[in-house]
Amino acid sequence: MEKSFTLRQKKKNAYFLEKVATNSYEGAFKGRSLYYDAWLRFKKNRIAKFSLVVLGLIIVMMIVLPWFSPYTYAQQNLLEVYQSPSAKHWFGTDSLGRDIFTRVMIGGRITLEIGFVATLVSVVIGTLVGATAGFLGGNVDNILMRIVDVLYGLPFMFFAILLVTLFGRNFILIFIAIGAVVWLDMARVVRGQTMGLKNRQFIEAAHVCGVKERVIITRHIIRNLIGIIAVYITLTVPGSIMIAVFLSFLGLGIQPPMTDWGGLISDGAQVIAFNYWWLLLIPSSFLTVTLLCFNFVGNGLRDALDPREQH
Amino acid sequence: MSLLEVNNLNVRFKTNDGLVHAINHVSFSLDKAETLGVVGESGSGKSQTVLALMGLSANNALVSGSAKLDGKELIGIPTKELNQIRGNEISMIFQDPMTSLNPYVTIETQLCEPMMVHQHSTKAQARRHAIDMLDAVRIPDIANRIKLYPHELSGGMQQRVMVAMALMCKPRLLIADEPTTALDVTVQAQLLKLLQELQDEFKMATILITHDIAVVAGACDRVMVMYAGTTVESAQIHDLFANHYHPYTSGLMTATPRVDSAQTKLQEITGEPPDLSHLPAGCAFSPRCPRATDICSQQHPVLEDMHDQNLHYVACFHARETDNKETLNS
Amino acid sequence: MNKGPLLSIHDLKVHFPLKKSWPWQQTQYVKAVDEVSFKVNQGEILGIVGESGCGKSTLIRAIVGLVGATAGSVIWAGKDLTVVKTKKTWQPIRKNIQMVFQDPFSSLNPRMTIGNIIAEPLLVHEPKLSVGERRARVEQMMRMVGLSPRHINRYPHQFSGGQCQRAGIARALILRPSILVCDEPVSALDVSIQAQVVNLLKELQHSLGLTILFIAHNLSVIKHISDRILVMYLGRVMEVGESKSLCDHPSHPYTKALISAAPLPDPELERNKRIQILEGDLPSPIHPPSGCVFHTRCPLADSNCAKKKPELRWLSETREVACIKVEEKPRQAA
Repeated sequence: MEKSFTLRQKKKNAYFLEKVATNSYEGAFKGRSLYYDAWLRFKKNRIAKFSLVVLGLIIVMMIVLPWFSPYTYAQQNLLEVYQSPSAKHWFGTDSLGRDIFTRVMIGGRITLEIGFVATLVSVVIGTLVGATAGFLGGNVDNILMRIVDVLYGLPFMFFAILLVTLFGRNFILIFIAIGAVVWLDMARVVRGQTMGLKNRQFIEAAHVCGVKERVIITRHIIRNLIGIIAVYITLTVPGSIMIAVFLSFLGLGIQPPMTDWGGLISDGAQVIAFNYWWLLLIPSSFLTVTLLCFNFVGNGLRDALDPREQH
Repeated sequence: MSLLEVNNLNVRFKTNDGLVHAINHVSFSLDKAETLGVVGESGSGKSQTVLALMGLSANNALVSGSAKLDGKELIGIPTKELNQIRGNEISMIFQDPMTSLNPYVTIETQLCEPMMVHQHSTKAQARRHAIDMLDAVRIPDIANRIKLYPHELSGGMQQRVMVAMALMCKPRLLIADEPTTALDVTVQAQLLKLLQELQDEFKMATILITHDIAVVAGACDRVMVMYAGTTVESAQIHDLFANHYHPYTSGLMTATPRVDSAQTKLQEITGEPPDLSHLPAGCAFSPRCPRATDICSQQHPVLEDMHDQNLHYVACFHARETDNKETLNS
Repeated sequence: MNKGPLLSIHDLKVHFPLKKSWPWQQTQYVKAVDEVSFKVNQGEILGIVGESGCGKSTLIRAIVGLVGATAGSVIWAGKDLTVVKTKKTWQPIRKNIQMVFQDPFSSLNPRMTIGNIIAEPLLVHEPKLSVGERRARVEQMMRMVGLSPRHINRYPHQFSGGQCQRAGIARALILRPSILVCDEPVSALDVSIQAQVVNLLKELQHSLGLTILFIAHNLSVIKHISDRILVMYLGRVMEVGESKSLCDHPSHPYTKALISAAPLPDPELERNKRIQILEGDLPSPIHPPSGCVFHTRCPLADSNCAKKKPELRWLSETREVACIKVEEKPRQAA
């Protein structure tokens, strides 16, 4: 053992001397940006990587499989109601004989669409408001943040029910209802980060160099915010999906016969007493797996971007 | 018999970038009522050494070796036993008083708690003792200040409260980890003087960790110089300043600016400290050393006694070859 | 070196208003810098020393325009910098007054390569440079501060503290400014690296003919680098003098205390010297003591000190001091 130890040391030594001679370590002349470092760390996180693959598979399934399905989501067949899963109907059929497999895929499209679009909207609004408030500070900050506070105070459920009763059930309305809630968190997070960054010395250095304010925001602030925004996106998507599913479950979501996972779960829950387990279990497992994957990816990203928090 | 006996202490950290060798084969001993200065730059392992003694190493640390306090092993014992020793027989002062004082608890409670836990004393006894200790660290107007919260005191006063807290259980060993780094020079002078007086008064051994060799000069009996996780030189204070054999020690001496010296150019040590996850195989200082030869980059030098009046250990292959005083003046 | 003031600061005050809890309350001010006047000569290194809270950082931030001055003037090349408000008029001044920051890591944007960081001032002030020319300038600058130009594409976290500080110096010098302002550039560095950076700054000052304002809380460092030293306490100047004579024969009691408190790396001297311990804490800059701000902790103070604010007065060719207790004819005049 002793011998192998010295041998290894010798190898290491030669390697080290070489590095000392060139005054650098491996990959010395290539820069390794913090984001690339984070990606390397993310790749080492097995759960996060696995979740990312599963998420990718689910999304591809949602997009591709309905094209090959012999049924459509609205196609009824009253001769084949409440069929349990079989070769003909993989996930069985519902009370109107509709193919659950197709409905889960189509419903998933809607659910994920709502999740992504609502997140995107909230990121754009939240980042703009948060970064402006944080960077400019003073009265601008006060006014913007008080608006955020007021919106926080709105009882969200009343707001959603009010919208639906006033304008009917509508895809766009769900976006508005969800977007109005989730961008608030984003704005607060971004504002906090911006205020922290603003006091860093490299911002002062940029001021001394005479860099314009607009350039400081884009080149120095936003670039440092990208990491936290990425993490936030992966945690907001499941959040908005949850809200969308919840609204649908309450019957405030999408108009039938179109459906989403919330609607499917709601349908399944109504007939669970008659042992039609597949109607509830299948859409809920899809939802659970998707949400879990998003959360794992988000946590993985956060750990990767901020390695100090691992311990 | 010496109070603290540290033998072949190693600390490694498992990280994503591989194994980081924070401390390599560090051995030293400490007599009763002696002050040992540990000098080194950041990453030299001086703080990690004492954290390992206190069982405070980070979760991903692998600690091996032995450290005996009065013959009782400290490394690897269960936390419950360690808690009996920590704060009772060994106390520690940290660099930043605000991070080690709880901002939501009054000074009185913070001082009394460890005593009530370790010595099972009553609240009244503990309070009386706390006032005595705050008096010992020369905090003026204690009766009124004991109910204050830490942030209501100045930095120097906070550090004094830390010292008082460390002394509550009359420890036999006080570890001060860069106690003056966050303080201004005039406050540093006050605190160092105080520590010295307290040490005489309480007859405790002290380990003073610092990056400033000038602080050591005034406050310590013995000095251990560390570099990249190894001890490079260890001697009585007067011996070390009279004859320093290791090139790193002499480098530190000449690089430290002096307010009383006439020369204006500082002698610098070229290069950068090594990356602890890619330590050179031989002497860790060899890439920066002006005297390095082939052997330095191939073998680890071991600590050898230089046979001065007292024990004077140096880990350098070329320790005997050059008289450091000459290199100093050249 | 041609002498003559390059920068003169006159009666500069920087007061920060405290937040009022009620609108009818009288606004209180933190007097960070109060009535500071001094001159900086062409080609010299002026060290500004003082303990935390003495206003030295605020002073130089006011000089480079990062914080606004409440009153007084900063005159450079015939222009008063405190009245320059718009970005456009600042631009040519920025080119001449650059700054090095304390924290080597925090002062570099972690998401940008070293090359881009050093090139940033060029993008602003010399936008017409081609990519190749800009790269050549950056590489030349990197060599000058002792960084290998091969590392141009690396990111700050791949460097050590000392190397990051070198990059910070390169960024400040790439526009060839005439004045370099350094805010505690070595206090976050290890001793061996600190010596490297101090020597580098001295070399650059020689080769480029720079004028440097150098801030530190460590008098020993200041003494090594500067030609003249300015001692500050609670927002005011206590003493100004030529660096060696000031350290060997301080006049002001505060300077004396500072020097005696600085530890010496020599056990014999360190154990036998008399330390002038300052009792008590730094007074609040919101309600500074009346008269001489130092009188609450001064060993020489008497009732007169609390009455009248001492002006900075001429003591000898190279020395000015703000203390009424100091004799007109100091010892080092011989």
